[in-house]
Amino acid sequence: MNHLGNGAWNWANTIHTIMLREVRCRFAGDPLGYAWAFFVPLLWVGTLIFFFTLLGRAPAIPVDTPAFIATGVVPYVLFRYTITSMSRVASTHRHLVHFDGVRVSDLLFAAALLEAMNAIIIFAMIWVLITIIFGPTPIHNPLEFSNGLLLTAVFGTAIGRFAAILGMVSETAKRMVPVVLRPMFWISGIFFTAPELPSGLLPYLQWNPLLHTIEITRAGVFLDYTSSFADMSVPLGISAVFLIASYVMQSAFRRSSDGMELT
Amino acid sequence: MISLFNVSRYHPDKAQPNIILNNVSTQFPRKESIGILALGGAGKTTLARILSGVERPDSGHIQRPNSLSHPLGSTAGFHAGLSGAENVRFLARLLHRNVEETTDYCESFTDIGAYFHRPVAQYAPVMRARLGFAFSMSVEFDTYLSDGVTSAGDHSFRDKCEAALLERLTRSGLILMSRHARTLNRFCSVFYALHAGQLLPCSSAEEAQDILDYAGGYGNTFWNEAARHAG
Repeated sequence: MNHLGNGAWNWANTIHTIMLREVRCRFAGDPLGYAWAFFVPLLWVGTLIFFFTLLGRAPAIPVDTPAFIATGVVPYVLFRYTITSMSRVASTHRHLVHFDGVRVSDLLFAAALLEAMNAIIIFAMIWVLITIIFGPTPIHNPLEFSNGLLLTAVFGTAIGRFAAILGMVSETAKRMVPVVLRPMFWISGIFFTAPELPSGLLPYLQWNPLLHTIEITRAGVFLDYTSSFADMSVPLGISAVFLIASYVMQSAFRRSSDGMELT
Repeated sequence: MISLFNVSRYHPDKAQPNIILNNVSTQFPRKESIGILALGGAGKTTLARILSGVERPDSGHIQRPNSLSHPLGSTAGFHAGLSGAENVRFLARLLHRNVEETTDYCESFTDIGAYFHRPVAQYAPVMRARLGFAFSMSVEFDTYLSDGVTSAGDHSFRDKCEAALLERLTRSGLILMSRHARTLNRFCSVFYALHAGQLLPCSSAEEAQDILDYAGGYGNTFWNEAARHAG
């Protein structure tokens, strides 16, 4: 039992160290440093608010535009950044596997955990700003809201793990991942709700897990919004498929293109 | 004790697989200094990666019940954007060693002054090599692994490295892979020749050299042929 406890403690320490190293390394040499990780999403939200105002567009549900956009951008950022970060650590920190006790899976998990924590901080920063500028905007159902973010993190981690392993065995696949993921920004409900979608598109977009997790997040935040579209079995099911596929790929290829063990 | 059981490793090649290790079984005692003589391209680096667990063999398995170092003098774990001190701190944490003691040791051993607190990107190659070796020496392992490196940096620093390594070998083991019999003689007491996928036990570094000379180096040699038939 004590041996198990020591092992768990050492593993937690390894994950913590990789996270700290990633924080220090990602923007090393830049005067703003890691603040960029929070600044860029804030800029996204600001830009989208600007265009909503410019085009005279209002959310389909009776809520403030900034809050509506924030509940779309933050899950998207969590999803997208998790994938990017997991692929990046598999490359930038790969030499750490030379040190006993560090595995590729540890690098990937640390990156995913760091992005989940970042998303919480980003959401908190946005919500504080919204509260200061537009007045208090309470989160109607914190449990459902947390569920939405958690499902997004799980989905991002599953795709991120799959993409990272794929990228380690094939340079071509590594370059293709961002291209394949690009449409997710437009089809995931960042600036619309599922009921606004044309009925002809719904049968296709109902398979987009991110659309479901953003709907769940919004239903958790806004009192006046209940999503009849959202179904958590879609993100959970698709995440399971990609996670299993990533482990199968890891087991099948065994080594990255530079010979490193894919454990 | 590090044990290899029927370990094989091949590099895929269009014509025929390049044999690195072919059904190798051997044991390296914990406190022994093992010298493995091999020609360039014979698979020293691959063997080092397999022993350290970075690579898995194609077949067979390895037991490493005691702590084995990362390759001696390796600078691969250093991030160019971090200072020498930060790099050492992170790596010490990963190895679950005392961070302050490790950092102090490295700062003193490298002897690069204020550069220790500057980004590694600003280091000259010699300074980076000093840091790599200092970090290797700052952490106690049961066995040290070396892919031909026994020192680093300029002439005076090399003496310091070798003295530190010899002192460390009074209580730790070493697995040293090199192309030079003289290097093995300086640090090792047990010898092998790595050729055509086989680890051949030898009584001395000179005997290992003779085996490699007899095999005629690279190409379609007796040992290559023998190994292919054995495979």
